[in-house]
Amino acid sequence: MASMLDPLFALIKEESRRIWCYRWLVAATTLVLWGGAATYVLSLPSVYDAWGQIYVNGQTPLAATAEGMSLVGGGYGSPYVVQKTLLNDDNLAKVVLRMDPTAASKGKAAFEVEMNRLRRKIHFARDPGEDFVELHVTDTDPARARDLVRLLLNQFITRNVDRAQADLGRAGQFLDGQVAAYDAMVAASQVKIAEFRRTHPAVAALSATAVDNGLAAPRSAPATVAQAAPAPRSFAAARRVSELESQLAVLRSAYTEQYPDVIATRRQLAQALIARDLEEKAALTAAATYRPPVLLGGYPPRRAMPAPLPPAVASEWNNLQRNDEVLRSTYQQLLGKRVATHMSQAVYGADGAGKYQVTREPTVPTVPIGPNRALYLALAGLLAVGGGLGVGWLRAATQSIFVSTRELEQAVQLPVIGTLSWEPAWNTRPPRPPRLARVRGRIGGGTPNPPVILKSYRTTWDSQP
Amino acid sequence: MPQLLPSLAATDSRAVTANNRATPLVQKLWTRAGELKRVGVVRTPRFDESRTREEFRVLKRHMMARMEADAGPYDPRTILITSASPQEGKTTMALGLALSFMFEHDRRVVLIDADTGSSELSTRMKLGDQLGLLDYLDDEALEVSDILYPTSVRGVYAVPLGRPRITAPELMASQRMRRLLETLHDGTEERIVIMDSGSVLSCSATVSLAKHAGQILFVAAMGQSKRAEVDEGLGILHRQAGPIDETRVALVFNKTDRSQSPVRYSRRH
Repeated sequence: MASMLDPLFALIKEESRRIWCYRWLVAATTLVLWGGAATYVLSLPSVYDAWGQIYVNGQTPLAATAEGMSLVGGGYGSPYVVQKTLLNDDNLAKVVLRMDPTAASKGKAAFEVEMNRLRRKIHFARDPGEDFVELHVTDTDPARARDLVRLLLNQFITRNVDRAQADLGRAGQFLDGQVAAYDAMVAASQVKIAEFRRTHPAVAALSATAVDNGLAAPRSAPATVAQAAPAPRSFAAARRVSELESQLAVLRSAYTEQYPDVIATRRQLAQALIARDLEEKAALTAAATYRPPVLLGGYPPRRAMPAPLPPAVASEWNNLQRNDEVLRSTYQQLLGKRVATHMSQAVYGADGAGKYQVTREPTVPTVPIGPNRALYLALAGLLAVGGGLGVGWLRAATQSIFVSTRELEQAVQLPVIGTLSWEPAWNTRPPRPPRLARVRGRIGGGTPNPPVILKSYRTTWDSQP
Repeated sequence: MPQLLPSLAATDSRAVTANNRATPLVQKLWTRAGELKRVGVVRTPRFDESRTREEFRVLKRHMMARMEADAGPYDPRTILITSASPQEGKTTMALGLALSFMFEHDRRVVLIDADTGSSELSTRMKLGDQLGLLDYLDDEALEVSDILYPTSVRGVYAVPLGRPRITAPELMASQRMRRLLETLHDGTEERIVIMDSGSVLSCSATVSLAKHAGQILFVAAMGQSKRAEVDEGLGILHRQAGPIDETRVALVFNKTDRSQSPVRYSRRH
């Protein structure tokens, strides 16, 4: 393995020598490059980060109105949606114009450049699992950064409140129309039922029998007897159930299933249903075991039961009743949604404070966040060293100097019989005197240059035989 | 042929005396009295002597091997040190080689400063104002002994450049130069002539000298010599100073780091 790498090591060694021959060029280039880079880095302006925090409820403003319908997705308050909403061209154009009213007169291209520059300065952050969105703006001017954050937040809130109000207004108009239509349909249904009863008296009798749950005989008994019979109390429980159902529908239009009032109403409704069932059973039992006192003196003459309805009439009667019930139910739902929509419109007031809360007002930052000059200077130093080495290597390559005996022999095809190591003391020239001494010597004053004392071979070599 | 260098041995002993015991005052007295020629001062920088000495020994062994295997028309004892461009270490190489050859018992070394561009060797040996090679080549009346100076190192003699002349390349290519070299090699002593010349690309006299040299030591400095210049310098030598092959020309890689040194383990002593 080592023998395989030997040529590589030899090559690296030769190239290192080649660069070393131009070490002063490398050093000078490195110094110049690093100096230039350092000047640039130190002249970079400080960058400040101003930020504000806003609470955006993840639930859509139309949640109460559009319950059960997939009108909007679930990511209403996600940072992505907020970012896309905030960074669209319309919003940014408004902000740019607010910051620089003359920007529009600079031309379309320059205006777009300004918008893109502003877009690059903005970034978002969000607490995981929460609905808090942080809006950061970096700028070299801390006050301008603060103003930008403020403008963007205001722009976002205003735009969203306007949109929510417009959506809720449209939804309210739609619901009003629907409620009016259903109102008319319910009225028409009532008229139809009344007309049917008039035309079919048997339906009325049957209806009374069905309504009184088989208690037509006691009700048709004399007043004294009727007063002595147990009162049909199931009507009160049924009314309670009806009230609770209506209340629950209203609550569900405004709140989720987990809302405490909804849960409590459900609980009350369940209890009312149980109570109604118990009372109905009790009433049936009482009716079955009841013996009016008149029976002690003998039965009065038996009243004739109404004749059963013909099948066609019964079917039509059932259809009328079912349609009426459906219309009433839908009508009730529409009424609940209209109330919820009005409540939402009230919540999204002029300032949208109920939906968008600025939880941290932007302030003027005092500590810059960048640039990281130490890191940049270190990187610039590395790059400068690399550049210097590259320049030195290129210079050596273009000069085609020799750095090894192998290169020399291959180049000239003549034997290299030896090498002589370079020694720092090879230079036999006397050192230049200091500048002041030279000036003195030139004008005639001062002392002459001191003799150069060099160790001679003489003492060493003369001792040889 | 007359004994042109009878004084070599004599000056040798006097130089040794001067080396071991002479003081600047004594040297001045000698010069003033005219008893002796001025003594060249061989100074080298302070460096890792053991390593450098061994590195020069490696070079010396190669060159001596070529001298022993002499079979060509050129005298291998005449060594020319040159390079492609200036400041690659020719003078230091010449001095170091001279001092290394000095260790050989039966050899003497003559250092000739033939660098018409800078005459660094003469300056280092403080012989810059003395009669030298160019004076000898230009003046028939001068003899070899007039330009041959003992040095502070035993066995090493110096020939300074002399006063500069515009005809230096032509003088060095002349027959008188050839005769000078023959004279220096003449005699019973084994003498090695080392010529410190200028760079090929800056000094045309180097090509003239190369015609007389049996061995050409071409210096290339690490990180300094460029391939194009080395190629061009060797090409000039090849075209103008005879064939350049490995029997006559060798390269020395100078100013290398220690990892390329043939001496891996050294210590000062």
